[in-house]
Amino acid sequence: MGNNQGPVLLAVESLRKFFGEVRAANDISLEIAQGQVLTLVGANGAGKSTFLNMLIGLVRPDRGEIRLEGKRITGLPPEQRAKMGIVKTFQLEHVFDDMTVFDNVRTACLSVAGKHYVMFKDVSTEREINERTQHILELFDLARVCQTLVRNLGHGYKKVIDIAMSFAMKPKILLVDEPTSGVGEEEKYRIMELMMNQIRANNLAAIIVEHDLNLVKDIAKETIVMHEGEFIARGAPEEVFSQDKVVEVLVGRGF
Amino acid sequence: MLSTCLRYVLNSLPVVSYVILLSFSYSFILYICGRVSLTFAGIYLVGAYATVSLGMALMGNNMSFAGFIGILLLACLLGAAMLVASYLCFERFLKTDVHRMVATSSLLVASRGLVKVIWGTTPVTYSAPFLSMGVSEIAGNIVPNYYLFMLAVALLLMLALSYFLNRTCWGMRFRASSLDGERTMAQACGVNQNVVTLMTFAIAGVLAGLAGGLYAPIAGAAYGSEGNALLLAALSVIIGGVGSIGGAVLAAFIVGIARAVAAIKMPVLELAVPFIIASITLMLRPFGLWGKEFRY
Amino acid sequence: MGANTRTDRMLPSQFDDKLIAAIGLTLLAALIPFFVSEYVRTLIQRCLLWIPPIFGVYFIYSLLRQVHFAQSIFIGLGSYIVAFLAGKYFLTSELLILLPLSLLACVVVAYVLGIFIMRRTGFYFAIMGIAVTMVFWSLVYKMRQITGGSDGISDIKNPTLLGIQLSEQGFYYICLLISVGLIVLMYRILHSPFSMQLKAIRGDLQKAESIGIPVHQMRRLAFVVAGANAGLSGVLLAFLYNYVGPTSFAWEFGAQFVQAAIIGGVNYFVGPIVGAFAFVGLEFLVSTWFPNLWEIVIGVTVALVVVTVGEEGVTGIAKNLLGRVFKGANLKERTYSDGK
Repeated sequence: MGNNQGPVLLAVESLRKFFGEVRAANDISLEIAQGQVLTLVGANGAGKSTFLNMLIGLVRPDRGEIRLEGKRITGLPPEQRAKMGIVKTFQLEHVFDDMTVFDNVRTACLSVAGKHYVMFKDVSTEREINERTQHILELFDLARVCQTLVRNLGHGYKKVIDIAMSFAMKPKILLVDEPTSGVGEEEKYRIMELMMNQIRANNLAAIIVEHDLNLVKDIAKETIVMHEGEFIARGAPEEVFSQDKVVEVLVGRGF
Repeated sequence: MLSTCLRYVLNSLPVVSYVILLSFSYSFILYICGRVSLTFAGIYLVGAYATVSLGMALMGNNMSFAGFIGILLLACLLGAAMLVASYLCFERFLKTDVHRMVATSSLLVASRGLVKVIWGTTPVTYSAPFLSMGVSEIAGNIVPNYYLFMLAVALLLMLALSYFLNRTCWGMRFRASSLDGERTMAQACGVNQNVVTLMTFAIAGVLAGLAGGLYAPIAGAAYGSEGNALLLAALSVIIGGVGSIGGAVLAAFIVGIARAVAAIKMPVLELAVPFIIASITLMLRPFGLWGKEFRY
Repeated sequence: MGANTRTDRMLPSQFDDKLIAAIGLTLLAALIPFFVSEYVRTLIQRCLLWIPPIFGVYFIYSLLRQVHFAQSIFIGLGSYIVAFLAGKYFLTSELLILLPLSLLACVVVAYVLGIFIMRRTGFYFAIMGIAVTMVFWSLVYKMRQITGGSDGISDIKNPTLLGIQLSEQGFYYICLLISVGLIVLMYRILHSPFSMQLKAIRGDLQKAESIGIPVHQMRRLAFVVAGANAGLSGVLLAFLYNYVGPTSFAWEFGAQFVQAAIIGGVNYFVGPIVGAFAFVGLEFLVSTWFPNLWEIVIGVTVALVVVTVGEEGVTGIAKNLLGRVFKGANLKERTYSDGK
């Protein structure tokens, strides 16, 4: 699995995080090139979410280095990393509940345009931002519900909104934490398709955490299996899932 | 040098003891019920005024120890009754923390008003218990026995509460409620939330009323002193952390001694010093020095 | 009130209604001094000057869901700047110097305080706010030689504007101008990208961070905006009362702005305006007839308002009643929906 897609975008070097006795990440190293899509699988508690949270800066690693395009970002706060192009969507619902769908995405657009401290201008006069928001909403098939309060929408919608907001950030690398958890079978495929289309269209790098192994086979050429804070296998999905130790980890002993 | 330090510590004992009681009254409700309630400072004020006026009316200057204890008990009961009443009438209906803060701060203002109507705004003093207990000498420093009595009462109460919470069956129900953010799991396990909440408020009322009653013979009861009480108690909760008895005691010592030292060295900064300590604590340990991670 | 921004999404008729109502109310306020006694005018002036600090509380409350008890610091700062410069150590009573100076002082103090007290939310913020006001109060109270201690500083010279001594009437119009100006400004700020991102921070802190919003910095700035409002008011309040004392730093004084905001209703943009008039009016009525009961009345009233209607306040109740009376009228439009 060489990095034949291009120059290294994100480099992780011996990242470690222990929560007391629990090893959430044990000397993880990883390199991702532009346009490279990886899936990350593993049982609950294998350290997948912690790994992603360390990449975006919500969790501080005990040691190790993270570099984005050669620049060291290990100590930077989350908002700066987001600006540099490393964006994550969340496993649980993390959307702005008491705002409309439009405003949710618009907030992300405003943020990426650096308009944090614009105080004396009406939001609706930010024409470029509004057009971009509308465009993104159409890409993700959200235009119909754009004036609905998010808290009145279903779980599946909130997932899509979360992903749309991440795309609004103009990311270079997208970290996706279980985009389909808690979503019905049909919607699962729709969300995945919407997302993968955009990832391919923009030639983004992505790490996608996913539990559904059939989906994993569909979406990426390369997959990583994580267990107790370590990458125990890496390669094409079919190949990896046929290894004994992977089966043991994912499905359990005695199966 | 050592004796100077000791003198500071001994001088700060009254403040330390009443801050222990008050801050734990506040953090107890916050910890067990997850409710912010600022009413305790009003209870403190009422407790102080009740003790002073009862003492003057019943005993005047002929002080009897048993009588004073009786008055303190009455102040405790009054405090518990007021806090439970405020819970039943208002705080029960408050759904969010913002609402609680706004409503309880207004109730605090209302209890100030109550004191104003009943006792007026001039400070009153009743120092018979303080004077009649005499003094003793510790390492060359003269200490009023009343200081030691206050500290003993505060520490004994904390010990008793700690025993209650950690060793008894009822205490376990209290702790179960505190660990449970929404208080539904504890309920599902058969802990009656209404009873636990009422008891929590009653205990907090006892602590706040007692704090006022105990401190009144030294400082008198003064309309407006509830602000000081609120400040010191809340800051020591921020320093000590929510829900930890040891934290409440140690933070009260920190706040009390810092304030006593500042009051002598730089009187202007008397209140600023505890505030600065609390700010630094918030920067370094957001959940207080001995506090556990709390849902705020 | 005060909506002269061009907005795309507002319907023309709605927009006109609001603008007409705002201009009408402003005109009414401008004409009132010709018809009422001096005493009532001072009372109205006080209402007008209370509006900006209440807007500060409203700003923090409606966007961040935090209770801002510390407005009195900035009122006090503005007032004491006036007391020193136009009273005790007379240098100038020029409003064009004093107002910007107080604004600058409040911005700096608010920013520095924001570093400490805007770090945490919830009761930590509220308590630290109360604590800060108490600290300022004790500083002012104890520095007797400089601040006059509990006696305060009276004998403040009359304000001047461009060197011209202002009459009492003229000062009323300055107050009206500043107050309306700040309301218009707050309207703009509340509809700006800044406010939208603040609202996002309140909605979900982690998500806000992960989409690149500098959370702490923006919270601090929100605190600065609130403080700046109060600082400007403080200058004018000092001139109005001709007296400045440490009570302007007292915690219960800061709590009054929260109470007024709650009475007015935090869900509506007009809430602070209604709240200022309702609070000052209620205080006037109660203290005329039952001066001792004021604290009980206001305390219980606010508690009852919170318990019964939450953030709706008087404005919400009035809108509800009007909506029932005029069934066809569309009065449901809100500035901000409540959080939970």
